Formats: sequence, C-alpha cells, structure tokens
Amino acid sequence: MSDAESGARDEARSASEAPLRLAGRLALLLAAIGRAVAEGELDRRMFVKSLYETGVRSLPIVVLTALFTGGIMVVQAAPIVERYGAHGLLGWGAGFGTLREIGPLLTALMISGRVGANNTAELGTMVVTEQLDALRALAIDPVGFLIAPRFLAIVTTLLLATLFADALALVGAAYVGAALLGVDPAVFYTGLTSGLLGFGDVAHGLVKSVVFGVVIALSSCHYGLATTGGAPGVGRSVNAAVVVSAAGVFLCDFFVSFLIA
Amino acid sequence: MISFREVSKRFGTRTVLDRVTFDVPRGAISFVIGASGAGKSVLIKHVTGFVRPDAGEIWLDDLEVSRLGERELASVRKRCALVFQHATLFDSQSCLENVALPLEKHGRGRTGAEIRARARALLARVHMEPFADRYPSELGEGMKKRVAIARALALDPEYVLFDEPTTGLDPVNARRVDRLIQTLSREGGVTSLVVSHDLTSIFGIADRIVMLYKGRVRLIGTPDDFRQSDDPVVRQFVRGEAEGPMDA
Ligand SMILES: Nc1ncnc2c1ncn2[C@@H]1O[C@H](COP(=O)(O)OP(=O)(O)O)[C@@H](O)[C@H]1O
Ligand SMILES: [Mg+2]
Repeated sequence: MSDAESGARDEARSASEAPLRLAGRLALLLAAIGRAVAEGELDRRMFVKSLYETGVRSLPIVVLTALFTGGIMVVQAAPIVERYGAHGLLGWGAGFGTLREIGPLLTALMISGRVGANNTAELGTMVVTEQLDALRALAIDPVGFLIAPRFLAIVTTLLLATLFADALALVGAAYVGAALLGVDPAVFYTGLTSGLLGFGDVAHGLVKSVVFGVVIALSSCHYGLATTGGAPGVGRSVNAAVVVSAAGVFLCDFFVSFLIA
Repeated sequence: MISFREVSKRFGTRTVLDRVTFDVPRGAISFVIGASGAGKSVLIKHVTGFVRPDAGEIWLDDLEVSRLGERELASVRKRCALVFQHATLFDSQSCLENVALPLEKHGRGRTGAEIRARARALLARVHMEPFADRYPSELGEGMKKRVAIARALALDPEYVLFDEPTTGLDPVNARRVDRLIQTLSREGGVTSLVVSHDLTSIFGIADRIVMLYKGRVRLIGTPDDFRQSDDPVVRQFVRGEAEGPMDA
C-alpha cells in the first residue's frame, strides 16, 4: 500500500475516531477568527477579494442546480397533483420543500465542493510552501489576513447564494409546472403566497444556510491549515475537508431542523 | 546581540541541535555553515520563534525569545527579519504587492503611492525593479529569492536572518546580494546572521563563522581561523573536498 493511501486512511480514521477532538479544534479556530474580527485585525481588502472570488466561483453552479432542483420538485409532485387535481397546491409543495430543505442543503453541498475544496487546497499549498510562516515572519497575523476574510466570505456567499437559489428554484418550478402540468404561473404564485407558507419558512432555510456556511468555512480552513507533507498532503486535506463538510452539513441539518421546527 | 545558550532540539528520535551555544555580535556579519541537514535552518528559525527549543534559551538583546508567545513574537519579528531558504512569495500577488504588503500592514507610508514608491526602491536594491509587476509563478527561483530579500528588508529591521540567500542565484546576482548584506551592516548598522555554503560569500563577507557538525558547534572564528584550521572536518568543508571525514 502506498504512503498516500495509508495517509488517506489515517486521515479518514482520525476524522471518524475523534469527532470530539475535531469539534474542539474547529471551536478554537472559530474563537481565533472571532477575536481577530473583534480586535479589528480583519483585512477588509482580502475580505472583498475573497467575497468576489467565492461569489464568482459559485454563481454558475448555483444557477444550474437551483433551476433544476425546482424542476425536479415539480416532476416528482406531478403524478399526485394530477391524480388529486391539486394544481393550486403545487406552489406550496414546491416552496415548502425548497425553502426549508432542498435549497439550503443542495446549495451548501455544491459550494462545499466548489469553494470549500478550493479554499483548503489554496491554504494547504500556502502552508506546505511556508507562505503562512512568511506572513508571520512579517508580523502579519494569518488569521486576520487570510482565515477570517475567507471564513466570512464563505458564510456570506452561502447565505446570499441560498436566497438566490430559493428564488431561482421557484422560478424553475413555476416554469416546469406550466410546461408539464399546465399550471398557470399566477396560480403557482398564489399557492406560494396564500398563507400556507410564510416568512418563517424562508428564515428556517436561511438559518440553516448560515450554520452550513460556518461548518464548511471552518472545516475547509482547518484542514488547509493542518496540511503537512507536500502535494500529497494537500490532496489528503482537500479530501478530508470535503468529507467532513458534507457530514457536518447533514448532521447540523438534522439538529437545526429538530430545534427550530 | 543574539545569543544561543545550550540550545537542543530533536525531531522524533533525531537530535538536530545538541547544546548549541554561541553569540551573534551587533553590527557584524556572522555566518552559520555546515553540511545540508546539519540543522542550520532549524537553528535560525529559533531566533524568531518558528521553532521552539527542547532545552536551552535564545536571547535577542534583553528578550528571551524562546519564552515569548505568538503576540510578543510579532513585535520581535518587526525588528528581526527572516529570509526563508525557499522563496516564500505570496503566489496571488505581484512582486510589487509582495514587497508593499508589510509596508501597508504596518503603516509605513501615508498613501498608496508612497508605499508603492518605497516598494519599488526596495526591489531596486535587489535589481528586481524591472519585474515589479510580474507574478512569482513567472519567475525563476533566484529571482523570487531576491524579491523575498527585498520584502524582508521592508520594515527596516535591526537584525536580518538570511537562510542561504545566494543559493540558486547566478554568480553576478550572488555577489550583488553579498554586497547588499555588507552595505546593510556597514552603513545601516544591521546585524546579519547568514546561513550559507557558498564559499565565495563566506570568505568574501563574513566577520565571524560558526560551523555546525552533527548537531554541535564545531568551530567559531574568523575566516582566517577557518582557513588555518587543522580540524579535518573544517578543512574538508572549506576546501570543498569530496573525500574526508564528513559523512553523507
Ligand atoms: N519540522 C520538522 N520535522 C521533522 N524534522 C525536521 C523538521 N525540520 C527539520 N527537520 C530535520 O532536521 C534536520 C535539519 O534540517 P535543516 O535545519 O533544514 O538542515 P539544513 O542545515 O540543511 O538547513 C533534517 O534532518 C530535517 O529533516
Ligand atoms: Mg536549510
């Protein structure tokens, strides 16, 4: 077995065997980020730059998944809607699932794979090429300069992307509903706003997206910073970050749904 | 003055430094020499707290740096710059931005234009000004290293630690870096500690030389002391001979 394989296995094992230790490390990182922000160490220019990069990177993938997600909801609902003639409830059905669950969850998973993985790879490369030590050698705090901006950029991007994806998914659902079931978009819109759905459903999804953003941002930064062992080490870190982000997102989804349902 | 007092450092079971003791006097150019893997990089990283000793103390003037936390080390690092062995430029920034970064972050310059002018002047000191707008990935190792030197000098440090500053440079630029180190020390009063195995540098500009061998200090002295030493290990190293008592 190659070193890389056994390394990846060690990483996977340590990720599964020591969830408490991992949670502790992530909490410490969050505290360090909070302190850097509170003390005004956050580098605003790097934040704007990170926000731009994560935003631009996420946009195409969010548009694509959101439109299709909305469409899929309608395709799945179609037989029931047809059988019971519940055309007026299509908007509610698509909206309920999208706003509370599918919108935040799928957007988070897409952004984890796109932005989170990229963040881990970049930070990991900087660590193994001593660029992080070089920052410290210039008396520049890497948390304020690199980590906090990236953390905030990922959390902000995911929140905004979820809002955007919610809207796009409903547009997608409305169009597929019109094309497939002949539901007039106006009827769809009424189903959406007739009172069965409220601001609470949107908020429910947005709270989740912030929690998911924190999970993805923290784990991608953590694994980037913890990288050792050159290029194979960067690969292992990206791997671990993606796995832990996805697992963390599902775990938090369950608990957040449970707590604020 | 930088003082190493009985500094020991192990990685796993491997002892890299074994009770290393020596002083780096102010204003002078001191060299640390030794074979690859002798622990030279590990040694100088102790001075700014990137490596912690297992035993012993490292002093910078009246500060025991080996006891300081990351926050206090930040103020030490403004006074004592470190040029890493491998050029550690930030890939996402141009050469000019790399050099300007410490100036911006530490408020050295009131306007962006003033900071850029200073950064250009620093690049000119290492003859890299024509490449100011290039990105590190477009440059060779030697050129990146010269930019890293310019960046390290940005905060006007009192001490500069150079880890193999001339390795990978062409002979002309290597001598230019030697001359820069000399100018810093003679005209700016900068104290330099240089890790090197470039014999031309060593015998060209060193005031004092410390040789590490198997984790211990083998000899401390002037270039003449090293030329005249009859220690076979020292002789083999300073003559660059393939055969001799040094292994590996
Ligand atoms: N972070 C580290 N972890 C483990 N071993 C290290 C570490 N840094 C250096 N070493 C080991 O210490 C020894 C000395 O390294 P170094 O100081 O880089 O030598 P050089 O004299 O060539 O600069 C080498 O054997 C190296 O493998
Ligand atoms: Mg070295």
